[in-house]
Formats: sequence, structure tokens, C-alpha cells
Amino acid sequence: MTIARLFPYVFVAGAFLMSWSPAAKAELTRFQALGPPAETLVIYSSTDLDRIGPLVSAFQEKFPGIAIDYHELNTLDILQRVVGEIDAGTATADLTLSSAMDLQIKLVNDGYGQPYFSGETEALPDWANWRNEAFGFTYEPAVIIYNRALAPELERVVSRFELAKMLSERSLGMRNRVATYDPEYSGLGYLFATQDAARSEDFWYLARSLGDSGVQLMRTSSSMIDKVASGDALIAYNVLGSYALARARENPDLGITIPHDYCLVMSRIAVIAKAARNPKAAGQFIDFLLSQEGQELIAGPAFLYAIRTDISGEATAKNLQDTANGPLIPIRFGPGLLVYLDRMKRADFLSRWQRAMEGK
Amino acid sequence: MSARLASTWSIRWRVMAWLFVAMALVFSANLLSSYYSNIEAADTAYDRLLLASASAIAERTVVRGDGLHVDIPYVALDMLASTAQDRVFYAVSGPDGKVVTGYDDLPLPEPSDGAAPQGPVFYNSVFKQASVRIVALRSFVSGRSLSGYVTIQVAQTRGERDGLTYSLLRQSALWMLIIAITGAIAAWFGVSIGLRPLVRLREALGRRSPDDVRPVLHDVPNEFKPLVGAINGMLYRLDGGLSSMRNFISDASHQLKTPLASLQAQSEMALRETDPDDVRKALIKVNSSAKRTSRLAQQLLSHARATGVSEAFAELNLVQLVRETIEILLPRSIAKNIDLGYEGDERASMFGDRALIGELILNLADNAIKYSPAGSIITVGVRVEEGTTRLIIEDDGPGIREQDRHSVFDRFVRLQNVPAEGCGLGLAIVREIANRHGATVTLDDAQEGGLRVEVVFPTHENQGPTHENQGA
Repeated sequence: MTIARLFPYVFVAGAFLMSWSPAAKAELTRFQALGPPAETLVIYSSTDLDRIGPLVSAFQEKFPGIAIDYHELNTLDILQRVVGEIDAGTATADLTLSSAMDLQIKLVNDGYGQPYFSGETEALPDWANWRNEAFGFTYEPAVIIYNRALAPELERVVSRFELAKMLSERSLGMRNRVATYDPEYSGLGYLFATQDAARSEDFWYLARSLGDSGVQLMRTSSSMIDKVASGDALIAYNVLGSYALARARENPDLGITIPHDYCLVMSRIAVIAKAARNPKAAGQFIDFLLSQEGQELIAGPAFLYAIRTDISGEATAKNLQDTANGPLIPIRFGPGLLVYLDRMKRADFLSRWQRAMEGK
Repeated sequence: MSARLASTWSIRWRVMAWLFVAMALVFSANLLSSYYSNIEAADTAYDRLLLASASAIAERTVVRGDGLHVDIPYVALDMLASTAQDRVFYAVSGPDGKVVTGYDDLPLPEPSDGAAPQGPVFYNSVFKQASVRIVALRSFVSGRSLSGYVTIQVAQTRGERDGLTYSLLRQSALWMLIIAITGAIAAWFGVSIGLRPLVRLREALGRRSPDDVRPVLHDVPNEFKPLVGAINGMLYRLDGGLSSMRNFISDASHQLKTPLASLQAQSEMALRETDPDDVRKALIKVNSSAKRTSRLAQQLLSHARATGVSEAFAELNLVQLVRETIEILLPRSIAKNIDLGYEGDERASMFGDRALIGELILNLADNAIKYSPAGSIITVGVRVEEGTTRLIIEDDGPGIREQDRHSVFDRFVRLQNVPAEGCGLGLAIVREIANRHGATVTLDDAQEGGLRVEVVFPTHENQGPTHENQGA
């Protein structure tokens, strides 16, 4: 029964998930309660602890009675574990935090979330709240990064079309020195690529140009940033802006370009599991994430881009909106995100991608 | 207790209560019917969107190479992103029924009789613990490897439909509430306005002097006409009672004036006599006059009582009463050598005022003795028949001429050709008493040539005082 019900999910996202995170991380970090009554909040999260750690500590200062079991998992593991555990009736997460928007939406669509209402969730913009079950708490742009020291002229590449044009014009000089997400092995890369494809047929022109240039396909934003910082690559497309910004503060050679044609914006999504044992603490954590204090920490040490527009600072939605030269396109929460999880749709997309990589 | 409470409820609260009951019935029926029609309206509106989504998928379902190929258009699911943020499920299955892509266990429509439907089928079901609306669309695909009908199912939770249903329901409930409040206000004040004629009637009656018993001539609504009729009837009887009282007073003073005057004259004459024998003769006259006067006064009082107010109706045995009365009269009949006897049933139960019926028998028998010559035979009888009890008094005296038989019942009427011993009240009293008991009195010729008086009492169950004499 359980296996049978689980099957579709394994299959749906199957291919990527099997190899996408080969070393499936399952790190548990336990934050002891600072005082009574010592209840426990179980979080399954795809966000690195070194980024979200300050938020957890600040939350515990506010709620000293809550111990936190922080499971760092990749995005597909979060979905599979929550679905499997709820179907089997075993203990599961109280709260899931994931950057895979489509998987979080699927979790809610298939009935594994539970609604939560508070002043903080009410204050969220409509597009960042689906069914009062999925709440966006960051506002992270997909950006182009380049190596300022080695190729300062790449500053002028401000749109997808110009990137494609530059690649075909300078195909020799750029050969093997451009990087992007591998949509086959990265959930976020797949989300960005499919959202691009849904917006413009020009995306496939860009994909062919990337393929022609011998693009390096990477599985994480960090590895793309590493490549560009080291000079292995001169430019990388669809890098998570939050990671790029954090690194650019330490490395002035890293240039960040917010595309002028349009800039995709993703939000990490928090969902309270249907079978949560401590939904109250999960709600308190969501409220904290969305509170002024929590959002300031998201903008500050975490550099995850605060979604609240009343927070100022570099990594904030407000700053992004003020400085962007083109439209910001937040990825819309809702059933549209389920389309690219369709197994046939995914196979189709990836085969087209493969052909593009071969320059066809 | 509650019945008593209910019977003293004000008309306003009665009207409000009935209004409430009627409105509650109408409103619940209306809400129920609009609930179902609203669901239908919501389904009609949103089913189109569901069908558009399924059609978009159907258009992109093709046979390619060795099998079915489905390219779900982004818009197919995105168009279902409703304001209520409904959850969305879909499935595409091939001609063999196997799910090619989507949710594997989405419920299929109930199989219909006969051939599979050509058009889309909309149905309600439960999927993943949520009630959903599903469209199943069959679409023909054909290619080298296979050819046949694929089924595209798209499902949506009912959030937005229910939202529309309930908002329509709230609207109609609001309107019904407005109607109810308006109706209640109208009824509340309408009762006051409707009862205004009654208030005017009350004021008019309140202004009347105590002896004003003229009928009420106010214009009143039809509903109050019977009430006013009853009041007028009562006033009429009150008027009758008052005038008979006045008549009695004038009759009594008139009737008693003459004997009292002659009594006074006789006593004065007696005072003037010096011879003891003459004094004695005069006193005998005085005594005789006093007796007559006393009898007259007694009969006047009896008559007044018969027409008066007080009643003591109870069950009584008429035969026993007749026997007692005969016993009282026996000395007088013996003195006149009259054979007074009883002949009839042994028992006759009836309802009546014992004292008045006794008076009636006494008057009739006394009359018979009075007007019959010595040596007569008087027979008193009681006959119980179906529905009636008859009291019959027969004598073999001179009788009453047919043309006089009506007038003898009037007060103070004495017939010319009979010796004037009575005062003319006897039969009037009899008639009054008979009336009060719903009885009829008839005078007839007896078999032996004398007078036959027959009083017929009705004997229904619990027979009470008759209407004509009630409350006078």
C-alpha cells in the first residue's frame, strides 16, 4: 500500500532524484531547548545550516522552550520522506522548508500540508501564499555572474539574447568557459530552465548557444560560483542570486547581473506537514521567519533576500525591485508548477534540452 | 397551564407566531432549493474551465513512435489557479485503461449504461481526502502503433465552487432576512391598525350612560360583525329585562293599589262599626281582602322570579314534584269536593329549576280547582316519550273558548264570563316558566269537555336554560 502510493512520486521526479543528489545528505542537527518546557520542533529543510543557523538561534532565544531537530535534506528527499511517513503513519516533520517550489506545491496539492493563519501570513503578498499552506519567505533572483577581473566586458551582457549572441560571436573564446545549472540533476536548475522555457521560445536559442559553447553543467549554485571565481568559467547563467551576493561581498571579482529582459525570482517555501506533532511550534517558526526580526536576519547574515518589502538592505525584495532594470518575475505558486513535474513532460523537456546541448 | 397562556396571548403575538412559522417553512424550503440550484450554477460556470483544461491536454495527446505521448500544456493546469486556490489533479489513460501520465488512482466516472459517452462527463468524487469535481473527456487518437480512445481526466477541489455557492446562498438568505424583518414590522403595526375599529368601538361603548341600551351601529370590519351582533343581541335582551322589570313595578303598584285601597276602606268601615257583630263581619271582609292581596303579591313575585335572573337548574323527578304539589292542593280540592288525582308514568327525569317547575304545576292545578265546579274530576299526568316529557292537566270544567286561548297567557287578563277569583297572573307565570325550560304550553279541549293543558318539555341531555331567557 505504502509503496504503491509512494510509487508515483518516486516516478514523477524519479530520474532527477535518483542521481541528482548522489550523496543524499541526511544530516540531523539538534538544537537543545534553552529552558522548559522543552518541546521539540522537527524541521526538514534544504537550506544549508550555515545560512539559516542564525535564524534558528534567534528563534530559540524567543522561544527557549523549543528544541529543534534540523534535518538537512535535499528537496526530493523532503517530499518523499514526508509523503512516505504520513502514509505509513510514522513520525514526520512538523515543518518543511524547501527551495524546490514545485515539489512543495505538489506536497500541498496532494494533501500533505495543513493550513495556518496568522497576522504574518495574512501580510504576505497573495502570490507568495498558496491555500494558506505554502508560504514563501525569501525572494531570490536568478542572476548572471561573471568574472570581473578576467572579462570585465561581460558586464554588457544584460539579457538572455545578448548572452546567446555573445556566445555565438565569441564561440572560440568562450569555449568551455560558460556554466549553468544541469536541469537533469538539479531540481532548482530544472525549475529555472522550465520557467524560462514557459516564458519564451528564445530560451531554446540560448540553450543551443550554450550547447555550442560546450557549457559546463553544474549541480549547485555554489559550484558555478566556484568555477567563475577561479576563472574556470567566465560567465554563469541562472545562478541563485542569494549565493552569488554572499560570495561577491568577499570576492570583488565576482560581477552580478540582474537580466534586463526579465529576472526570475524564486521563494523558499515553508509548509506545515499534515501530520505534524507540534504544529503550534511550526506556526511560531513560520511567524518568526516572516516577522520583522526574522526577515532582517534573512536579509542580513543569511543573504537569502527578505520577501517583506518593509525591510531595507542589500539582500531584500525592496532593494531588488528598486535596482532591477527589467521586470522581476516571481515564480507563481499554484498548480502550474505541477506541469513540469509530469513524467512525460519532464522526459520531453530533458530530451529537448539534450538535443539543444548537442547544438541541434 | 400552557393552553391558558396561549389563549391569553395577544393577537399581535399570535400573528407574529404564525408569521414566524410560515416564514420559517418557506425560508427553509427556499434555502434548500437555492442551495441545490446554486451548486448547479457554480458547477455550470466552473465545469467549462475544467473542460477547457482537459481539452488543452487532449489536443497535446498524440500517438508518437511506439506509444502515446502527452505534452501537458503549462496553461492547462495554470488556468485552474483559482482565487480559492483549489488543488488540481489530472490523469491521461490510454485505450487499454492504463494511466500514461498523471495521478494513477483518480476515480473514474460511474460506468453508464450502454455505449461509452462521446461528450465530456462531469462528476463528483473524493480524491486524497478532498471532495473534487472531475471531468472525464474521451478523445480519439490514431497512429502507426495504436489507435483508439484515450481518457483525459482533470479534477479540481470544490473550494471556489463552494465559495460561489455559499456567497449566492448568503445573498438569498440576506434577502429573505430583509423580507422577514419587513413582514414582522408590517404585522406588528398592521395588527394595531387592524384593531383600530375595535378601539373606537370600545371608546364608544365606554362613553355610554349606564341605561343606554341602544344597539351599536358603528361600522366595523367584517370580522367584528358577529361580535357586534352578539353585543347588540345582549343589549336587546338587557333592554327586555329592564322593561319587564319596569312593567312589573308599574303593574305591581297598579294591581296592588286597588285591593289595598279597598282594604283600607273596609278597615275604616270596620272601625266605624260599633256593633260587635258588624265589626266581626267587616273584619271577615278585611281578612278575606288581605288574603287575596297577599296571594296577589305572592303571584307577582313569582312572576317576577320567573322572568328574573336567578336559576338553579338541576336534574329532578317531575312525577315526584307533581305528587308533592297535589298533596299541597289536596285540602282545597277536598273542600270543594273535587277529585284531584294522578295518572301517568312512575318516573320522569328532567332538567329544570325545581322551585319554578313546582310553581308551574301549582298554578295549573290551582287554576283547574279554581275554575272547576264542585264535584269535578281533575287529572294530572306525566308521560315520558321519545325526546319529550309531557305534563298534562285535564278537568271537566267549563274550558276556555278557542278565541280566548291565546290571550289568557297575558298578564292580568281575566275572562269576562268566569267568576273573578284569580288575579290574572297564573298562566302568564306558567308561560314564563315554560319558556325558560324550552317547553311549550298548549290549551285544548279535554275528552270530558273541560280544559286540557299540556306542557311539553324537551329532554335532551344536559338541557340547560333556553337562549331566549338567558342573561335577562
